[in-house]
Amino acid sequence: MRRAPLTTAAIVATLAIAGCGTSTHTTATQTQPAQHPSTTPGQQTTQAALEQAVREAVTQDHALSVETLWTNQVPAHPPATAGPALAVMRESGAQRRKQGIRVRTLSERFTVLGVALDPSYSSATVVIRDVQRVAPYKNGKRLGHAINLDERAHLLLRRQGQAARFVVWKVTGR
Amino acid sequence: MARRTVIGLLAASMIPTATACADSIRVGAISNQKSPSEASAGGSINVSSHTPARSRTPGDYEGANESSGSPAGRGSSGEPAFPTISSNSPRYRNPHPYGPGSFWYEAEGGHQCAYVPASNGACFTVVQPEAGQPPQPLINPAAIAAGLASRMSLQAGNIAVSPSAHADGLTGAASWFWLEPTPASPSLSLSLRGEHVTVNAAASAIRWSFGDGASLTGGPGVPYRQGAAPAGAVRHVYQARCLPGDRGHDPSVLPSCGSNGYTVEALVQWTISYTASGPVIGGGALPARATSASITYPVGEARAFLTSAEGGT
Repeated sequence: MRRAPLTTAAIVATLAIAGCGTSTHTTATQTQPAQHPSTTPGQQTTQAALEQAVREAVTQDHALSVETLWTNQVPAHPPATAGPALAVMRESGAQRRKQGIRVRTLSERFTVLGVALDPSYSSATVVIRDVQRVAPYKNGKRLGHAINLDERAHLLLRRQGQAARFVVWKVTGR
Repeated sequence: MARRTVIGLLAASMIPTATACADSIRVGAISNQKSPSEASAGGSINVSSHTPARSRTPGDYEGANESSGSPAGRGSSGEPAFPTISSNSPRYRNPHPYGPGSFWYEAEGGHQCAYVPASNGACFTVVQPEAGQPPQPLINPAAIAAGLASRMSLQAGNIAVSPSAHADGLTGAASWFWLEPTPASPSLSLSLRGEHVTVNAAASAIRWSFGDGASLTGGPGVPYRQGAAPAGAVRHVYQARCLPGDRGHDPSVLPSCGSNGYTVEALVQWTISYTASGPVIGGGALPARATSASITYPVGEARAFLTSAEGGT
C-alpha cells in the first residue's frame, strides 16, 4: 500500500522527463494543464508566452553552441546563454583551440522533447535531443571520418527579471 | 540503429556520471556546454544505443576491453554496454590515445569515445580505480607476441635463375639467382584489454646453397641484367656439369648432382621482434625463424674444339 504513491509519482516524473507532459511534475494533477482548475485564460496566455520564450532561448543557445564548435570563440555576452553553460562552452572552445581542433556540423536533427515551466515562472527545464553528424578538423584539414552523435540533455533555464526572456543556465546529461 | 530504451526509476538517488577526461574534446553541440560532473534525482531515462563509434574498430584495433567485468560497463539489463577504461590508465590520460590525430570526446551518457581518423574509434565507460581493489592480472605482451609470431606466415618466395632452369645453366658462366617476390616484412598487431602488441618480422639474411658444395650468405639477389653486376647480386659459377641423366653415368659429375640437376636452396632467416604499448610498455626480440625455397637447376657445359683452317678436325 505504501509503495503506490511513490510509484505513481515516479512514473509521472519519468513521463515528464520523457517529454510526455508539458507542465511540472511535482504532482500528478499538474501534468494535465488543461484540467488544472485554477488555470485562467490569462495565465494560459502567460504560460504560452513564457514557453515560447524558453524555446527561443534554447534555439539561440543551440545555434551559438554549433557556431562555437567551429569558431572556438564565444562572444562576451551571448543573448541566451549564461552561467555554468556559458563557462563550459568557453572551456570547451579553449580545449579545442589548444589542440587545434575545430568541429564542423555536417548535419543535425535538433528536437525539443519537452518544456517544463516552473510554477514560479522563474525557471524552466527543457529536454532536448540532438542527432548530429560532425567532422573534426585539425589545423584546417579534415581529420578523417565523421562522427555520429546522439545527444540528450536537460537544460535548466533562468528567467531574466520579469521579462519573457530566458537564458540557458546549465546543461546536464540526464 | 538498434536502440533500446530502459526506463529506470531511481527515486531519490544520485547518479554521478563519468568524469570527463581532462583533455577530452567536446564535439557535440550539447556536450559543448554540458557540465562535466552532474547528478540527478528522481526518475531517469537510461538509453543505451548501438552507436557506430561503439563498434569494434577495423585494422589494427581489435577493440577488447580495457578492463572487463565492471558493472559500470554494463547496461541496465546486464548486457555489456561499453567496455570500461580506468580513469588512471595511461591510454585514458593520453590526449592522443591512438596516435596523432586521435583524441577523446564525450558521447551520449557520459561515455568517452576515442576519435581515430583512420577507423571508427571506440567508446568506453570510464571507471574510477577503487582503493583496495586487487590489481588486474597483468598482460604478458611477450606471450601475446609469441603467439602472434607463431601464426605469422613467412614466405621465402620462389627462386628465379638466369639462365633459366629450362635453358640450363652453363659451366664457366655466372648464373644469377634471386628470390621472387622479395621476402616482405610482415607485421601483425593485436589489441587486448588496452594492450597493443605489434610483431614485426624481417628477412635478416639469406643463405644460398648452390648444390655443388658452394654457398654464400647475402640478400635476396637481384634479377639478371646486362652489364656489370649490381651490389646485392647473387651469382655463382659452376665448374662441373649436372644434367638429367648424368648421375651414375658420367664419372666427372659431382656426387651432389641430383637426377635432374643441382638442388639450389635459399634459406631465409627471419628476425622477429615486438613492441607493446598500453598498460605494459615493452618490446624485444622473439625466437628467429627460417623458411626456405629450392629449385632443381641443371647445368650443362659447352666444349670448344680447335679446328683447322680447311675445316678438318
